[in-house]
Order: sequence, then structure tokens, then C-alpha cells
Amino acid sequence: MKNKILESPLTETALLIMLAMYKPNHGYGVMQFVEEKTNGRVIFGPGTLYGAINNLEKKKWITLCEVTESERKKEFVITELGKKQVEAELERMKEVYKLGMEITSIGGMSNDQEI
Amino acid sequence: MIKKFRVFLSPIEGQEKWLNEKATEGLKLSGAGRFIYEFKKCKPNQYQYAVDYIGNKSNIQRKEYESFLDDIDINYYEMPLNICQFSIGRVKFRSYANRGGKIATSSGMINRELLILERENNGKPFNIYSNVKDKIMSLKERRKPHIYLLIFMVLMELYNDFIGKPFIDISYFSNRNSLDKNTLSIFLGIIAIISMVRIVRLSLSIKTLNKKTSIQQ
Repeated sequence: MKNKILESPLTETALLIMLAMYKPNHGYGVMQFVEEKTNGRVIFGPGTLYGAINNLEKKKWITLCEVTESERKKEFVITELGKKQVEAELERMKEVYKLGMEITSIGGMSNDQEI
Repeated sequence: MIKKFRVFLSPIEGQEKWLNEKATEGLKLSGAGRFIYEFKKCKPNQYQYAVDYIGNKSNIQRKEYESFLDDIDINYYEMPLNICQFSIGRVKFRSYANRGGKIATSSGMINRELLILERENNGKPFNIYSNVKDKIMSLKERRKPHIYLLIFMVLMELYNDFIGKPFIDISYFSNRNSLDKNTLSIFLGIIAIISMVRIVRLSLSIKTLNKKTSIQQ
């Protein structure tokens, strides 16, 4: 039985932001990370990124890093609770991926084979 | 410095389109007032613009959002959206705003319902909201002031009809002491129709996006 605190499925936006925050990162860094890692498939708009970061912070899945005077930009890092969410989501995706690979032609099973 | 006067019936899409056209011509926004826009010359297509609706945000939320925009290297200009808000001195009531944004009492909250966002053109589309859910949420927030405006216009018309005494005194604009009943009805009717058109258009956009979302879900 999975932990009841865990929410699933996560939105792609939430998942990508949390992955970008395994190391302390600021909004601009998150945008660049996501665009680069998805080869430009996902480009966050400022409104979407702002709303998602606020939401993740409220849920305590990410937290604000201590801001020093030299740092102008706010940096966030994923929390332990956030990491649990990401791991649970990856497990779910693995399950779906495995099923998809078993059934579709990509995974080797042809269309006329019995499922 | 180039100054341009402009009034938009569609303050978000219309303004966004116009500013991007100006950027294509090699003009960069340097200041924005109620109707007057100031531009500086720049290279054609050097900048991109998008307009965001922030009338639902409280003063603190607006400042936080602007600070976030600073963090991601997006420049912004604040603009008023003159719709369904009532002012008594420096106190403004926004009937449509969410909790915290309804009553604007500090000078920071007066006349700041729109944000014009500006960034260096990187050749990619400049969308403020990049997923369907956020786009729907944004359209719903934008629809609220029009709904309140429509209700307000209907109530004013009822008051005009049943109480008889005109609700608005326009002696400031006219040599007559007040609007006669019929003129006021026509005026209220025009505003109500404009609001209804905007509500229908926004609702249709929301419906289309909702269909898209149900498939994507």
C-alpha cells in the first residue's frame, strides 16, 4: 500500500521543475534546464512556472534556499517529501512504460498477437 | 522618444499584437501610460511582448510575481484595465478580484491590472502560460471582470427603470445636469453588449481548451 501523502499522477510541469531542483536552482535555471533536457519540447511560460513553483512550495515539495546578499535570484531545492513524490511518479511511469512496451509494436509484440 | 496614442477594445490580445508589430518595425517600449505608449528605436524584431492579466492578484502577490519576472530576466510595464472597479478617493474596489485583491487601498495597487512583459527575441513563441490548465485558469480570471461588469450594468439599468432618477451624474462632461433615461439606457446597453461579447468569446476559448484537456488527461 502506497503512502497516502503521495499524489499521483504528477503533472509534467511539476515533475520537470522538481527534477531541475535536485540541485539548488532559480527560475531562470529551471527554464534553461527543462528546455535543454527536453530538446525544446517543453518551454515554460513565466506565468506557468511562477504558479507551479508557488504551488510546489506550498505543498512543501520544494523549499527556498537561504538567500545570501550576493545572490540576487531566489533559489529553490527539492525537499525529502518532494523526492518521494518524484520517486513514486517514476515508479508509476515505469509501470505504464512496461505495459506499453509489452503491448505495442515498439516493444516487440505485433498487432495480431493475443494480449 | 516616440509617443503613440492607442485605445484597445481587446486590451490583452489586441495590445500584445500591436506591441509585437511595433517591435517588428524596430520599436522598443520604454513607458506605458493609460493611453500613451512611449517607444525607443531598436533593431527590428529585437524584442517580444506578451500581456498578462494580474487584476486578480493582491499587492503582495503582484510584487512577488514581478520579483520572479526580474529573476528570469523579463522586463515588465504596469498598465490599468479600466473595467468594473469603483473608486472612492484612493480606495478602489475590484469586484472581480480574488481574496486579497478586492480592495486596493495602497497606491501600489491602483491602476495595475495588466502587465506588459518584454524579453529579447529568441525566435521562440512568447507564451505566458505554457500548459492548457494554466491557460484555462487565466481565461477564467479574465472573464470575471466582464461578468461583474455585466451584472453591474443590468443592476444600473433596473435602477434607472424603476427608481427613475438617473444613477450617473455627468454634469462634469455635459452642460445638462444629468443623463436622461433613454440616453443612459443606450449607454448601459452598449457596455453590456460589449461585455457579453467578451464573455462569449472567452467562454468559447475555455470550452475549446477544456475539450483539448479532456483528451490529454
